Amino acid sequence: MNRRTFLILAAGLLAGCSQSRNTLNFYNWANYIGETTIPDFERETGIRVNQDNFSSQDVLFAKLKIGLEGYDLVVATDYMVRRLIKHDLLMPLQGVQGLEGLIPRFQHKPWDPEHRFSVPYLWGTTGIAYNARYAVPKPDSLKVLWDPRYKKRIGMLNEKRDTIGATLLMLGLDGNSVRPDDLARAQAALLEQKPLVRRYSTDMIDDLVRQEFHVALGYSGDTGQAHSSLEDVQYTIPREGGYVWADNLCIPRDAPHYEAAIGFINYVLRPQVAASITDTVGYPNAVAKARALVRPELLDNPLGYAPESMLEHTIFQQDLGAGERLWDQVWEKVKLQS
Amino acid sequence: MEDFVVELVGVTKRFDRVTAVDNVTLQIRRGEFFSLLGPSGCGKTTSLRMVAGFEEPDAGEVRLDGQPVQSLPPYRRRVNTVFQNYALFPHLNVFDNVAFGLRRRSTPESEVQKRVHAALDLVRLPDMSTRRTHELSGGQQQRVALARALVNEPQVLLLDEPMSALDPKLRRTMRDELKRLQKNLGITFVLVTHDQEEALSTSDRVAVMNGGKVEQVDAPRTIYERPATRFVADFIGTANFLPGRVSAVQNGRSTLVLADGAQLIVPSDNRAPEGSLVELSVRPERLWLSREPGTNGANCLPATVIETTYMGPVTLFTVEVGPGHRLTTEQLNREATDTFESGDKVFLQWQPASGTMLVH
Amino acid sequence: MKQRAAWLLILPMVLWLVAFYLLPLGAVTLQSFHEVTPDYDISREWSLANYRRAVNPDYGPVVLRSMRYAAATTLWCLLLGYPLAYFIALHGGRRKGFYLMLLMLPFWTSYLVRTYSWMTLLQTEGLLNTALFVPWLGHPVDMLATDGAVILGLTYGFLPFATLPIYVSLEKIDRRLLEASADLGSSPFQTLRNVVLPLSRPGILAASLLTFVPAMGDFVTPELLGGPETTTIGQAIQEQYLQLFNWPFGAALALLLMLLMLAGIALYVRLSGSEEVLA
Repeated sequence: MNRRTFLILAAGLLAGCSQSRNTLNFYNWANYIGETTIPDFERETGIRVNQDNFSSQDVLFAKLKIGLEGYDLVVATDYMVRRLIKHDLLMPLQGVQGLEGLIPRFQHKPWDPEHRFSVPYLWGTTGIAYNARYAVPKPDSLKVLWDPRYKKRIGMLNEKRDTIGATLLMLGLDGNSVRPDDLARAQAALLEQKPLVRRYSTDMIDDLVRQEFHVALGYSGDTGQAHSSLEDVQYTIPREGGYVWADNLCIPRDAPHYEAAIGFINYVLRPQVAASITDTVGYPNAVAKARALVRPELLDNPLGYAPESMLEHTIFQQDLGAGERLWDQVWEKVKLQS
Repeated sequence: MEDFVVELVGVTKRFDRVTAVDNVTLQIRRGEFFSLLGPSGCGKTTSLRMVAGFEEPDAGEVRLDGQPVQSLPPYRRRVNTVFQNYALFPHLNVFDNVAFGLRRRSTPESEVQKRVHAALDLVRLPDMSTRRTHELSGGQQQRVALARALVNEPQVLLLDEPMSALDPKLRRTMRDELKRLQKNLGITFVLVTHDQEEALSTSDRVAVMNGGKVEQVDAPRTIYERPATRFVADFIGTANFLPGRVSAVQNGRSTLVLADGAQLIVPSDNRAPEGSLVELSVRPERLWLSREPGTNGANCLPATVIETTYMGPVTLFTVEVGPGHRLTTEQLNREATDTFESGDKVFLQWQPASGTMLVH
Repeated sequence: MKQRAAWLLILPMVLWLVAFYLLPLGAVTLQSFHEVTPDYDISREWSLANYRRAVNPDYGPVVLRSMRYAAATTLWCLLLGYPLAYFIALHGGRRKGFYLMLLMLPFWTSYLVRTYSWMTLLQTEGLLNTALFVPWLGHPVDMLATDGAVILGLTYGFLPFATLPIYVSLEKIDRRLLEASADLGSSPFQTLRNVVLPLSRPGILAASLLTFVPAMGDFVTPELLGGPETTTIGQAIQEQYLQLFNWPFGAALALLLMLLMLAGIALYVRLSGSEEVLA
């Protein structure tokens, strides 16, 4: 029995996705949509949207790779788009309007140069989140995440690409490296750091607000959401650089409601809709015209639309290809050892 | 002053709104075999449990050896109990069950060995000490329960319906055995039972209880032949009742006038002076039937035979002495006995000394 | 004829076992003998590589830690559950049903939610620190991400599972045995030790198994209340399945864990001499 049939047997019973025509099954990060986006879309089109959340990109990959059917629209980070395409897990997009209105930085990127499979949805950066009350002086380097003064108050992300990647950047190495030497150094650094780490977080916002973390590797928009609950929470892109990334809307290969998914993509690309999503979640969107419509405090703010000067030394995460296995091994080792 | 080992003085016990034991006073002599007899719910078991210490009285005093103990927990009282269904410890073998009480008192192991074996011999259960209790028959379990209690040499042994789970034949054997043990050991036994035959055949004295109160405390013969109350007369064996009025009291004999004017002679009772309304109670086996009226001083009433029931050694007759007033009598089936058929006009006779007056 | 009827009667159970136990277990077993290709597909070749890899020294401490958590959880559950069950069974009186309902009440809320609420109690800015430790000691106490937090969470989660079987076994004890014990001179404590404890042993055994086995494989509690240094074998397996997408290796780990626990249970039952409990 292969994984596909096994899953259809076991999980298929539970998936319970509605197969009716007027439905859209949307697989997204949690807290990653506008407050009224879905109800408005449902009212406008009569399509019922079921939203399901994943906790990491790896889970998204696992579900699609296994062939779990039923999702019509998924949110995949840039490097994951490439990986999904390589594994032939996405369906080409037809009938998407408004691609020319995207911010140039997110147009025609290497992971999907012609936007055949993906449309940028929201974007952000991975940098340092900190609690200004405790993190003095203001951190500007990833090295702060190895500072024993913050023992057990350091947070890392439970997302191997970000946590291992940031370690490579801290070491002055390529953030997408698949060289065994580089990864061995990253592994050593992560093991050395482990006693200082409070947790590898899946819920950064909560951990920041509850002040479990004083300095942490974090996403710009999540930190922004934490900041609105607790003003002390701040964010910066470190001098070693950080990641800039875009989450993209994609349609999985066997999506049962293709038309509804295209409709939703087009809906989200409308400047007013995109702006209202950004207003809710704090992450900037990729629609150029929406910039003028968002809450003004999100502009020129590292938590939202980071200033160009900061974005200059950010890099995109790339698909690692066969090197992914090396990262897996490092990750396994780091999580196990104590 | 008499030597009482167990005393209940004005003891009352209530459960919620039900008064299980109502102002009971009982005195049990050292070394006697004493029974508490009564129907279920009469308070006999509750009384026993207050002696054992499982229940605390709401009022009154429980004394052991003259000392008030009503607030002492069971493990501080020198009494032991044989429980209904025996309550043997299922996780222990026979030996350890019997040794249980000795070991709680930190008896040296060599003495435990000696005394447990002696106790098992006493109840005629040698060679059983390593058995599991669930492998034993009901009678054997009963003996283990006895040994387990007796091995502690209690001042008083309390037995709560100990034979109710045995079949009738075995029950008779155990009854004799209990009597023998009590005689040999000289320990005071207090037996709770609803079985009158059991109580009468084993005990030196019997207390008959009803509705939380003691009706009568006496030797078995007195209980049977001179019941103090209608309840006792009715509960112990069967009895015939005839209501009447005392018309004269003379020389220890009273004259009773029935509703239809018939006159009967009964032994006097000083609670029943001239003029009192009383009931005459007389046991069926003391009555006899005849074709002719008697002349020898026996009480005699004309009667009609209503029903005859042949029982083997005896025949039961139901007769009517007045309109709707029926009595039963029992005749031994001897060779020369006259037989009576229903409808026969007969005379019902008994010796004046066989009757008892029940005073209300 | 009779035999056929008997077969028909047990058929639903057999089907149930096959569908929900044997099939998935078989699939997991088969999978554990394959490998993951660099493309994250499952190889067709058979191999013992996963098992060789599973016995690597990295997993030893993780398994030991999980055992330690499970053992401590079991111990605490027994220490807390026994008096609780004892109280309800022997002194609950007419309120027994009510107390049992109170015991089950937490189940009406999701385990995740309840564990999160422990987080809010234990965290640095949480209730325990702000209301107790900061006023008392002048500084907060780090409670989350410690062994203690994980064991506390597990104990909390499994306490009802430990209490109920003990309750059932206590409930079954004939009250007259307790009276007999007192009658034979036992103080309440001696009765507890010599009568109640031995007679409730099946309940204690069942409670230990119902606590130890799931606590050993649990991953939600250490994930939420633990930290980087409290990784359990359950978390490691979950990570292989969900994050690293190495199902065959995860399967091998899960099977080894299962075998280890089966051996442990067999040994435990043997040593405690209570085969009848599982029969």
